[in-house]
Amino acid sequence: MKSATLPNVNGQKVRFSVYWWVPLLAVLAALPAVFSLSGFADYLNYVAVRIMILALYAMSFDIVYGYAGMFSLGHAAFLGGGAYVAGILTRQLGLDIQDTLPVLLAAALFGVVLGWVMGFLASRLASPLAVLLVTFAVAETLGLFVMADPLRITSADNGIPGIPRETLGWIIGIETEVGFYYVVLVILSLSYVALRAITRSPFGDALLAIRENRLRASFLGYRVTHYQIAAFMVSGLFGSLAGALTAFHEQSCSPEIFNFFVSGDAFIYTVLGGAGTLFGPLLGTTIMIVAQEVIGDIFHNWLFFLGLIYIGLIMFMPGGLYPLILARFTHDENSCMQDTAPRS
Amino acid sequence: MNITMLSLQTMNGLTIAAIYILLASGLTIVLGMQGIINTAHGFFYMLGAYIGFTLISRTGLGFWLCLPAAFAVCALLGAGLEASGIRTLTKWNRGHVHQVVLTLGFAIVGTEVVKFIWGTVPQSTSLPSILRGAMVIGPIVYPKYWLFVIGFSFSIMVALWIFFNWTGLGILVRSIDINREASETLGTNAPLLTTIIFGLGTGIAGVAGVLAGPILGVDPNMGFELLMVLFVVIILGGLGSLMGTIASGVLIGLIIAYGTMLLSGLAAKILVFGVMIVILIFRPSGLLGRGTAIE
Amino acid sequence: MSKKDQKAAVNRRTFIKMGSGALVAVGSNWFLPKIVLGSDDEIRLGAMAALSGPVAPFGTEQANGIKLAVDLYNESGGINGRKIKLLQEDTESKKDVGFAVTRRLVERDKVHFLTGVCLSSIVLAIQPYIKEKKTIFVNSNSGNDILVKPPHCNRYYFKELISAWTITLAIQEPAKRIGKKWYFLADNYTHGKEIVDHAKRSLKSAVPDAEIVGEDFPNLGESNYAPYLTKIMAAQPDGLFIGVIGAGYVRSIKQARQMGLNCHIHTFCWFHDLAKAIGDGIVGSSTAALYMPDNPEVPRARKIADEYKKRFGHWPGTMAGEGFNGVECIFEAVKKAGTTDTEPVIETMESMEYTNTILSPSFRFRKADHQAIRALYTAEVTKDPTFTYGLKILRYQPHPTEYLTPESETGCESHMKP
Repeated sequence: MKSATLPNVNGQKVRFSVYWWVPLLAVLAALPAVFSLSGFADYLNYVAVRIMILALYAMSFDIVYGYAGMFSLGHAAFLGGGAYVAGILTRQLGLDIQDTLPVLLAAALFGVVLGWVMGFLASRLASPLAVLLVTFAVAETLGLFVMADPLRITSADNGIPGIPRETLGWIIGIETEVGFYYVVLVILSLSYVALRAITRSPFGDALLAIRENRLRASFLGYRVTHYQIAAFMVSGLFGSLAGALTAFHEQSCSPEIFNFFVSGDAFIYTVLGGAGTLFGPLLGTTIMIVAQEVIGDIFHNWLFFLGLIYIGLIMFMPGGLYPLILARFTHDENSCMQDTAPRS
Repeated sequence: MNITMLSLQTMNGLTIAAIYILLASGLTIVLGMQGIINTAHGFFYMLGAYIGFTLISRTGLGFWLCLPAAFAVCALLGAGLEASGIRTLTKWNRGHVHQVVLTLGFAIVGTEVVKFIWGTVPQSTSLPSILRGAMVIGPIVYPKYWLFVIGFSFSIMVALWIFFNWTGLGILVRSIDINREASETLGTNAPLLTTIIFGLGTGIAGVAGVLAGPILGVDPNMGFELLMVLFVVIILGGLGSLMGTIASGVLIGLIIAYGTMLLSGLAAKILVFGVMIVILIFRPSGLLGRGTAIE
Repeated sequence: MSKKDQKAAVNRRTFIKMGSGALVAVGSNWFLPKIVLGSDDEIRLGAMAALSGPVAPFGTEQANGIKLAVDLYNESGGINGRKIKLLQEDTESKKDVGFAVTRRLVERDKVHFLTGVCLSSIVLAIQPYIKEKKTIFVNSNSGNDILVKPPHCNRYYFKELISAWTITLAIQEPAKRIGKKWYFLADNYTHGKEIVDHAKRSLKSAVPDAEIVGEDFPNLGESNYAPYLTKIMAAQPDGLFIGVIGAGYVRSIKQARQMGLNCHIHTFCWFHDLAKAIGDGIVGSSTAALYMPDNPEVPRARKIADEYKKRFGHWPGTMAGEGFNGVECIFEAVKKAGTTDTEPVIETMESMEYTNTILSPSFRFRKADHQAIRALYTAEVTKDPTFTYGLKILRYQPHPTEYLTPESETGCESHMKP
C-alpha cells in the first residue's frame, strides 16, 4: 500500500508546464493595477500580500510534512520566531537598522538554527504523535518566553508595534502597499524556485524515500536523522523569512502568533492545496485566506467554518486540490485521488 | 517552608493529578489499545462540564445524577464520532495525522456550538452539599470535595483495571490490541468493540468535566487548555498502560505543584515540557510502556 | 485506494464546481463596499470587538453595549437627523485579524468613526494606522497606560477606559479598614504586573506601614491556583489583591474560598457575570467599580441597564457599560459639533465635559494625551435581590488624578498636532 502511493505529481511523470508560469506571473504582476480600479486598493493589496506571505509559510511546512513526512504542530515557532527577530532587531535593541534586508537575513538564520533544534528533537522520535507533541512543545515554550519576557525585549502581550518598513537593500522602496506587494511577489517566486530545485534534487528524493519507508531508506545507506534535520532547517529558513515579512507587513508582532492554531493553519493550507506538491500550499493558502475574509465578514464565525473545513478535507479530499486540477489538465484519472500526503 | 506547607502542596499536586489521570485514562485506552488519536477528548471534557453545570443549576438535578448523565451523553456522542468518521478513516487505511485533523475539526465545530448554546462567559457549578467544607487530615486541613475527586479518580482507575484484566469484554478489547486480524478471525466484532471503547473513553472525559466544574469552573477553552498536558501524561506513562498513566499523572501534578511553589508557574510549565522531551528521547515508550510507541 | 473511491472523486469534482459557484456569489457580496449598500446620509461607525477567542466574554459584552447605544440613538431619531449605521467586526482576540478588520472598515466601508477593542496589542498595532488615515478611534476597553504615552499617543486616538494606575487607588479604602499585611496575585502579563506595581504604591500611600507579604504571577488562564493559594495561606495576609482576568478570576476566588482562605479579597475590577460564576464567595470582597447599573448618582444608568437586560437577556457588566459610553463619547461630541468632520469633532471631544454619562456624573478627555479623566468608585460586593450581586459604594472619587502624568509633562505634544 505504501509504495504504491509514491506521488507522481511532484516527480517526473506529471509536471505543471513551464508555459503556465508566464501567464500566472503576468496576472500576479498586474493585480495591483486591477485592484486600483476599486475604491480600496490598499486593502486588497494588503490581503494579497498576506496570502503570499502565508503561502511561503505553508510551502515551508510542505517540506517537513509533504516531503519529509513529519507532522509538526509547532510550525508557528518559525513564523513567530521570524516575526520577533524582525521586531526585536528593529525596535527593541536600540540598533539603528534602516533597511529590511539584514533583518530578513537574520530571521532566516534564526529559522535555520531553530530548525536544527526542532529537527534534532523530531528526528530522534519514532512515532508521529511524539513528533507532533515535541514540535508543539517547542512552539509553546517560545510563546511562553515571549509572554513572560524575562529579558525585557519582547514586551510581553503588548507585542512590538511600529516596526519600520522603508527600503529593501537600501534602494527599493517598500513603504507603499504596492511596492511591498512586488517585493513579496519576487521573494515568493524566488523561494518557490529554490524550494522546487531542492525537492527535485537527490536530497528531495532521499526525503521522499525516508517518508515512504524510513527503515528501508536507512538500509540503503541514507543517514535518516541528518536528512530529517536538514529538512527542518530548510523549512525553518523559509518559515522564518515568512515570519519576518509578516512583521514588516503588519508593522507589528504579538505573541498569539505562536498559537497552535497558527501551526494548524499551515497544515490546512498545505493539505487543502495538496501536500508534497509545493504548488498546492500556494493554492490552499489563497483559498483559505479569501474564504476567511469573506466568511469572517459575513458570518462573524470563522472558527466554525474552519472546523468544518478540517473535517471535510480529511474525509473527502485528503490529496488536496492541486492533484485534482492536475488530473483535469493531464486527463490522468488515476492521479486525481492520489493521496500524496504521507500516510503515517 | 514547613511540613504543613509541603504536605499541602503534595495534596495540591495529587488533586491536579487526579483530574489529569481521569482524563488521560480515557485517552490512553483509546490511543494505546485502538491506536486512535482523539484530539476531541478535551471537547468531551468541556461538554461534560457544561452538562453538569446546566443540570445542577437549571433543573435542580442532583450532582450524583449528573455524573451518569454526562457519561451517557458524552459516550453516545463519542461513539457516534467513532462510528461515522474515524471508522471510515481506519477502513481507508489513513494514518494518525488524519485522525488528529478529523477529531480536531470536530472539537472546533463542537466548541463553537457550545459557545453558541451557553455563551462564552465562564460559569461554575456549585458543590454537592455533603461535600462542602474542609476536613482535617494530620497536620493539614483540606477541602472535602478535592479529597473526593482524588478518591473518585482512583476508584475509576481501579474499575478500568478490573475491566481490562478480569472481564470478558475487556479481554476481547486487549486481544484486538495484540492482534486485530487474528482476533477478528476468531469472531470478535472489532469495529463494534472499538466504538464501545471510544465511547467509554469520551464518557469518562464527560464525568471528569462534571467533577472539575466546581473546582476549575466551566468555560469553552477548558478543553484545549488541558489537551496537550494530557498527551504529555499518556506518552510519559506509556501508551495503553493504566498504571503508567497514574504514575505519570502524579509526576506531572507534583512537578506543577512543587515547581510553582519553588520557582514560578511559568517555570513549572516549561519544566513539564522539558521532562517530556527528555523522556521521549531517552525512553520513547514512556515510564511503564511496553515496546515502542505507536507507529 | 479502491476503484469505488475514484468514482466518487468525479462527483466530488462537480461538487467543487458547485461550491466555487456559490463562493463567487458570496464573494461578490464581500466585494461590494458597505457604503454602496447603505445610503450616504448615514453616519458609519466601525466597531471592533473580540467575539471569539480568549477574551470573547469581554468582547461580546462590549459589542452588546455598543449596539445598544447605537440602537438607542437611532430609535430617538439619530444624530442631527442622520441615522447611525453600525458595522461590527470580530477581532478573534488576535492582533493580525484585528488590524485587518480595522483596515477593511476604514478603507472599504469608509467609516467615520471607530470604537471598541480591548486587547492592547491590537490597539498598539492600529494606532499608527488611524493616525495615517486620520480616523477617530475611541478605544473603550483597554486599560494599559502605554497607549497614551509617546510614541503611541496621537491626535485620533481616545482612551475611554480608566488608567491602570488610577484603578488601583481602590485598594486604599479597604486597606484602611482591613489590615496591614497584603498579598498580591495577578496574571503574568504586562497589565497584571502593572496593576500590582501601582496597587503597591496606592497601598503604601494610604497605609504607610503596610506590609507586602508576597506576590505571585500565575500564567494567564491558569486552571489550578491551589499551589499559589497554599503559599498565600502560609503567608497569612489580612488582604489579598487579585488582578486576574477571565476564567482565572472565577477559578482563583472560588478555589481560595474552597481551600478555606478567609482573608479579605480585593479584586482590581468588577465583572458582574464572572461574579455570578464564583457564587457567594465573592460577597464581602471589595473592588474598583467603573460602571454600576444602579449607580445612585446617575439615575439614567438604571434605565439603560433595564433596556440592556430586555434586549440581551442578562444584566450589563463593566465591559458593556464602557462600550456604551465609548459610543456616547463620539456622538455627543458630533451632536455638539454639528458635523462628522474629523477636526471639529476632535476639538469638541477635547474641550467638552460629558455630563450624566452612564458611568458617572461627569467625564472628559484631557487635551494633552486624550486619556479619560473620570470617576472611580470603590465598592463592596453585597447580595442583591435584583442583580444577584450588587455593589455598595465605599468611596467616590470624582476625578482622581494622583497617578496621571501632569498634563504639561506627557510628551505627547508633537504627536497631537493635526
